[in-house]
Amino acid sequence: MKVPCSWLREFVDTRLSPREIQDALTMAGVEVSSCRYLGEGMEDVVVARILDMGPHPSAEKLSLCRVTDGRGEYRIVCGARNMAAGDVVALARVGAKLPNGVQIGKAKIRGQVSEGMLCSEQELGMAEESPGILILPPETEVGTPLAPAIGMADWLLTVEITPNRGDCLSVQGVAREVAAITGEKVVLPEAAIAGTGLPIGEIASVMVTDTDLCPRYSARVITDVTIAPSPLPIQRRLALCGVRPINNIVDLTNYLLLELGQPMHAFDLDRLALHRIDVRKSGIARRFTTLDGTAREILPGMLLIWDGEGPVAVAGVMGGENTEVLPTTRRVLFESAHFSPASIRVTGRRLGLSTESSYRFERGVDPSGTMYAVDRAIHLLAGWSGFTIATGSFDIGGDREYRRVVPFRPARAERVIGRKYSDRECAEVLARLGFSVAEGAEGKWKVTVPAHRFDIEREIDLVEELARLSGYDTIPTTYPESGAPEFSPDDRFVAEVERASEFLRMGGFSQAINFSFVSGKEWEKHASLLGFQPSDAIMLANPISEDTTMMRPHLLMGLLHNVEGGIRRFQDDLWIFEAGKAFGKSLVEGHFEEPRLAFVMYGRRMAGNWSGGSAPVDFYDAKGVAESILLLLGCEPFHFMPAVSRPFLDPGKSSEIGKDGAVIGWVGAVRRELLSALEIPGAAYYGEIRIQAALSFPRTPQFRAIPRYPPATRDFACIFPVSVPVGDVLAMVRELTPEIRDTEVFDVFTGEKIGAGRKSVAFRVRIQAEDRTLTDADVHSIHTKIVNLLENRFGGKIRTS
Amino acid sequence: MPGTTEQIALLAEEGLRAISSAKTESDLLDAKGRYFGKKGAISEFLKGVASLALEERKRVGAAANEARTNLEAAFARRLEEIREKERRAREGFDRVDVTLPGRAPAIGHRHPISRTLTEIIAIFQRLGFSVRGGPEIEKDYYNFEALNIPKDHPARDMQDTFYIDWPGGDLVLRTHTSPIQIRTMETMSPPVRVIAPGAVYRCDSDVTHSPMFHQVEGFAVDRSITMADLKGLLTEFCRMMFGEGKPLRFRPSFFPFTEPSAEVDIRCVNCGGSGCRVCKDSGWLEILGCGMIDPAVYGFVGYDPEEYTGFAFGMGVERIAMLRHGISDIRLFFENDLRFLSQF
Repeated sequence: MKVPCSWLREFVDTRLSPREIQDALTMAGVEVSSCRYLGEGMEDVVVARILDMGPHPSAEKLSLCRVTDGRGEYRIVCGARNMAAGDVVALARVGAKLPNGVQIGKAKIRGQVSEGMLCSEQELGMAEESPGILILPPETEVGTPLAPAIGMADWLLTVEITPNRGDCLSVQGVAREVAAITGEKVVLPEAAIAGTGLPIGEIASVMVTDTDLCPRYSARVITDVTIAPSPLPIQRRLALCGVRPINNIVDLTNYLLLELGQPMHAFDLDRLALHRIDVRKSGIARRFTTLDGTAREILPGMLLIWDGEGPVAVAGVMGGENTEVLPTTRRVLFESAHFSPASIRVTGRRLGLSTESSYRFERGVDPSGTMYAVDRAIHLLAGWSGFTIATGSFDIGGDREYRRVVPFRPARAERVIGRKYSDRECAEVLARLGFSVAEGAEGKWKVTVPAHRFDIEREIDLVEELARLSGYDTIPTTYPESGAPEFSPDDRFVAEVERASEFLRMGGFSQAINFSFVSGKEWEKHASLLGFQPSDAIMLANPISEDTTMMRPHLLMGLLHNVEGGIRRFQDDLWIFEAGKAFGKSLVEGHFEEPRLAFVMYGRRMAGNWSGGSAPVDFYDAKGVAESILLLLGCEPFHFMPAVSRPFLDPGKSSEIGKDGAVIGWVGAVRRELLSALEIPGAAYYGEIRIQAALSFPRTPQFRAIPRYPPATRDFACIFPVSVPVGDVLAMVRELTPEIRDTEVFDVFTGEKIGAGRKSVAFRVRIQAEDRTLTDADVHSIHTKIVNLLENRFGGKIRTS
Repeated sequence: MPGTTEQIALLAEEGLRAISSAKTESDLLDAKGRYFGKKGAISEFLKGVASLALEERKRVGAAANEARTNLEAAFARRLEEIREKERRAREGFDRVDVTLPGRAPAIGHRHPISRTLTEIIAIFQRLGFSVRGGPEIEKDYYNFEALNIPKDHPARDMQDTFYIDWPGGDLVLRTHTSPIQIRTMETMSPPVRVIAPGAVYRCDSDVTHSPMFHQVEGFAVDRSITMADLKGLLTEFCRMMFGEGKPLRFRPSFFPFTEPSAEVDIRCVNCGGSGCRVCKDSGWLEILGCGMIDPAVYGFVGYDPEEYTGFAFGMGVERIAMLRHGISDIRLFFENDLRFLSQF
């Protein structure tokens, strides 16, 4: 909200400078985000009159003006066309520097000397663009500095009002805050009027049917008014505050809204059927055209203003086209009302319409100020033009008490804030706010709060007022005494994910954070490749773009897009991981979300290694990463099994990871078709781990005696059919006898030499007893057992070199 | 005929010259053979003096021995020199290039958000706070209602909400981490001291707003917690996070679930307070929101507001990361461009 300082000073004659006002308000919770001198850069511009003007002899689009600033005469070449001899204009003389940075020098333009410039509003920093130069009212005194002459010797505050402080959405409201800070007095502006016309009851009638939604409705009627532009200073103020001037009546209601925060509406009385007003809910759905010319869909239950025939306004939101003030209007009904904030909010939201009026009603408008606002409006208008005021007024609900009594204990303030507040200080601060304090026994006070402070209902609200106006800087800094902090499972979760992330980082992976929402369209397009059922997906009701319509069912697509992006940036090796949630529907809770750790490997096995690192990554690299993460998370025992339900992975090169009968992750080559769809040329390997399922309570290692007797090692080279799982072979070897301590594969190959459909596997076995040194005969016997197992159980054939 | 001893001296001199001019080990061995080996010039010479008188033979023998000893010593020195030279030459070929990169996996990079988040969590854990998580798809009740943000209240406009397309329509993507306050207090009695990090979502996107971003929420409830404690804690946090000598200011503000509420500004990290583009000439940067938990919130979780008081605070991780690393466009965090990530 914009507040000109000159206007503010009409309400509080404060000793503070504009900058001090900015700081004081900000530190009291009414943030002033900007404080700007409007005449900035106009210091060198004066009011001048065009004496005469003629065409430029050698430039069709330019004219030559002779102007005076009251002392001297100047020849000015001007490119604008909107001026005439006798016009009063803004003259920047040689040497002036304009707000837009232009330095005025003596110039020759197409052979003609120009001794300055006639300025436009744009050049003066008053408007984004302007059609021609600024023409001032003819009575403006020539020779005076421009800024004061056009009301720009002023400061403009931009104030950010939090939703609880609807009472500050006006010049008066901000002035009340200033006064509460400084202890100065707020002036209540003049509103005296005298009704001399016909009794109001003879020319109009007002009733409120739904008083719960409209507790107060005040109105007066004026007659014999002439619609005309409002006075220039009024128009300027409105413009500064971002409101477009229209005519005296409309400007007046807008002016009052800005000044008092009290939305008002002016009806053309003669366009109200039966000269009648009723405030009641719409019973049916209907169309109604508001004064912005838009036909609105009114729903049953929305509060409307009616005349004798039908709706004439959406209450508190916008008036109707059918009764707006026209140039021909002679009789006007001014109303100012109080509407239920929730009702206005629902209506405004359903209509998709937020106006200056509805914005204020939603946040609460002073119900005690409606009649005063109407009177103030008419009082102001009396200074602009002549009219007759009907005798009397309507003021439904005007006899109610709108002030509130709130209990308060100074001791409570100390308990919450942690600072001593003396009774005197409490009373003084509350009084500055215009609250009246009745100090009671045992430190129990009663504070009467004026109606405009909607937000003050409870003791804690008063505590806040006390704290903020005494200054948060007066609150000491202490350290909270610790109640025993509890170590939660989430502490461990965070630490474990952190450890796994650090491991991945050390292994060459960079960390990505992708959006949790993805493009539903893209997932549907690749539904079969992704194993995606649209019916299982969680969709957003109001996505911000086409790319973010659905919560991701797994993390693959985000990481693949990261790879795709990297390739586009000419990067060859993209090892990326992400820790984030996957989402979906579930039978039990309806929906689930689950933390996952996922990684993608694309490019070389050992990037940046200058000798022998150029081999591309393969399945076993990805599997190794997955294994290491699981070991790190304490997830033993787990096992790898061929993937059956991960369509995004190549079935021949992928695996699911099982633990206790559950799938806790998957790893493998990303399907070629999917990579092609994303224009990823090489192979990419992917792993994803369900963190919660993999995390087990850490096992405490139990000590076993360190073997004292020497080990023997035996190497085996064996040819198997390719389908034989080496992991199973080694597991069975290890189970043959307890002396077999360890197996380690050191070579695997396939090729013509050993024939199609076969693979050669070489592994080393470490044999060691706990209680003796093994003899050659012992080792030989174990060796024989292993050979028998390999040949008989797995169809292996021992190779001899 | 010159004196025999003089002749030996001449031979020794020749031999020394041959040794010192030898370039290789074989040159040297050759010199040894020629002058003082078994068949060398000195031995041959001695054969020729067998006929001399005994006295004379003794003298010649002593001279020859001395010459041999000298030559042997020179030979040994020269041999060492030549070998040293050869060793050096060989090492020249074998020497490692200490400037070539070592062989190790290329280390990856930490996402700056994760880095900042971890730091924040670690600080609060040290200050006695324990981590709690919560769902990102959240019930309207936890995200709004129980935080004193009723339906049809303008405070809902403070956060543009993503709604989940769901029967009943009461599921949202949480707009802040504050629902964890409610979820924690529902299941725990005071004292509580919790830090709650996580992803949050708002329907907003520009240079400083991302539809997904991260927050850290913290709160503590006990019998005698005050706003002064809140000031003390956050002052300590900022000192640990941003370093010494960065003044803070607590400015009154509004959040529906705290009262009194405050926004905390830190002295601009860019200009030090003189005013710049980063702080929009104010000299201050807003870094977090906080306040005393509103008694209305206690009503939703069954705490007695007369018995307990507490504070809550929340901060945007992206904002803090942007300030610390001098990043001006929030969207960079979610593009996952390695040229960006590799800077952290």
